[in-house]
Amino acid sequence: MRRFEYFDHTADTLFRAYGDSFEEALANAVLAVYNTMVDTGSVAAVEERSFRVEAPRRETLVYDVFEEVLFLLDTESFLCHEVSSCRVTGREGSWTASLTLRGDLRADRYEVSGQVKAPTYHEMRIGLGKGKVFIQAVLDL
Amino acid sequence: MDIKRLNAYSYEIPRSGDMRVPVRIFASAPLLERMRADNCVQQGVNVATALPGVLGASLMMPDAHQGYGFSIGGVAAIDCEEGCISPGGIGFDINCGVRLLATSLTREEVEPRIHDLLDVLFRKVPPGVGGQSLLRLDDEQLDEVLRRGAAWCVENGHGVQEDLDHCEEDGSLEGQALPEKVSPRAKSRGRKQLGTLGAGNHFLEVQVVDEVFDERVAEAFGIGEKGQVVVMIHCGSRGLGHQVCSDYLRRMEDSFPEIMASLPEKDLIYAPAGSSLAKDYFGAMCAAANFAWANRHMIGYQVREGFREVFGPETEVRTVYDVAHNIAKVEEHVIDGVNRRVWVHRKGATRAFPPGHPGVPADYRGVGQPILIPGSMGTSSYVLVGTEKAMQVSFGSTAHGAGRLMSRKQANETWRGEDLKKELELKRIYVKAASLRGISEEAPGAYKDVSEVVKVSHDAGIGNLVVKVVPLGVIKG
Repeated sequence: MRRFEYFDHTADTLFRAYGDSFEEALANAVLAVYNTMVDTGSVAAVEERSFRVEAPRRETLVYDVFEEVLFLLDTESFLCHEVSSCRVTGREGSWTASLTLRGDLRADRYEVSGQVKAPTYHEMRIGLGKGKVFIQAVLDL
Repeated sequence: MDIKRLNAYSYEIPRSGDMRVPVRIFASAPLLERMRADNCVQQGVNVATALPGVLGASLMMPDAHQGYGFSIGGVAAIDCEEGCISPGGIGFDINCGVRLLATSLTREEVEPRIHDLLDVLFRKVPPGVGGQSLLRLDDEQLDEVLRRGAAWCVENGHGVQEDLDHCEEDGSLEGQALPEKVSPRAKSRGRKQLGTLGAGNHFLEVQVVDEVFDERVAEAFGIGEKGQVVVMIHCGSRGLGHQVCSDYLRRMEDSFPEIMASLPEKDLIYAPAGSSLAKDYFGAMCAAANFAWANRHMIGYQVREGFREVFGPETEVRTVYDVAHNIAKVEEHVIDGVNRRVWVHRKGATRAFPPGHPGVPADYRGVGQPILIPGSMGTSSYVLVGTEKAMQVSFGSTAHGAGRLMSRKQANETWRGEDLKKELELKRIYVKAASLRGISEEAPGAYKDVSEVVKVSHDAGIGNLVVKVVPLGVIKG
């Protein structure tokens, strides 16, 4: 199964991440965000960063998780190799996501191109297709 | 959709249904076709329909293309008392903009040393992800940058007064900026980024004046000599501005769920005029705009130092002008015969004020405000001048750039960075980039022809052609 794939979007990046569960799709969506800038497979897993976000809706939860990723990138130059844990609990009105990422702080060691400025709600979809949960999002580049 | 042709360079979607105002599109027939190919015309209609207090018309500039909520290349004047302010009408990269520097050097003097120059500029202006500021700001200093903008830089020994005089708003929205309304999280993202270029479509380009369309105005701007070397800088408020936009989108979403539910696109969320959130967002947005002006100012200062390191301490590098193209400003415009105080939202649009306007620097007041329109890597960029017509028909606004034609994914599938770099070198355009993929993603062919965009601006009279510049050296993140 493909973990994520990118689609044509003129000015920015549109991707769809897949999983057997929402948690797995969210973890793959984080990798999709990073892979717009760097080949995550090439990044060493020598540092670990964890964060937790709370949000009333699942779309907002996804948005906030992406925000955390960009915060780590801007403040620590943290590049991700893998999402070692992703746990989502709650229900509509009150969701919580806790993620742990493994990667590297030495961004100058990798070929990094482009930069995600922000997540957007534009064309964001969370749904079921072909028996998989998917998260679709557009990133502002 | 009923799009009515007004003349060769403008179209209108008349007001109908729930639309509060019509949509006016500045475009040639080919540019309009491209706009129709994506969702941006509908986004113009959405602005005309969904935003309370929108006045006159929802405007689309010649380079308009699909954005989030607003189209990129969208302009809206919204009543400051009875309307609203919308972060989506400004963009995530608050005060993304362009600065132009003029040097005393010619192509013949610079080209033999272009690689040395690019190496020095690459070191002095850190590009790409992880590129860090040469300045270390404590909390108090960062707040002063947010409060005072580029003026802080000059007071601290970086740059000269003329750099401020030749900048939109003198590089500062002091008095409107509220640093205390910028979150600690946004400040953390920006702390190490002052004077850095970032990545993506942001660039630093050494260029050469190639064609002069209006000698009198070009002379006034100090860029009237064919062969003269200039420098164009395109970047914005970096992570700080992006976080301000995100923070307030979320706060507005939480505070106004009924508005959120009524919108055709969530990114059109707004805060009603008079609400505390509208005041807080405007103050934070102005602070982020100040950060962006300080950022481009510092880059300009570092470029000046770089030129002097390579070509000697007497080398002149002066600021021609600096424009914001993602911002909302409080301005007064005559709309339907009435003088109105409005928030002019320019998202991917450049201010284009005419001769005599008090907002134009004294040095240029006789000719009008410089407008800086970058093309894509390897193609021409343009300097235009603001007009009275722009004040009458586009709230003093025109286009901001080329606009993408092809996705980054397509561009990567079409070109290889290494090949492109060699091809450009054959055209005497030298590229130094943080990554080869960054070069292919920004391939010239992935963008619309900026010449068509500026021609429409000129023909529509909303920004007149002054000078065409071509690239000599490019630094990309």
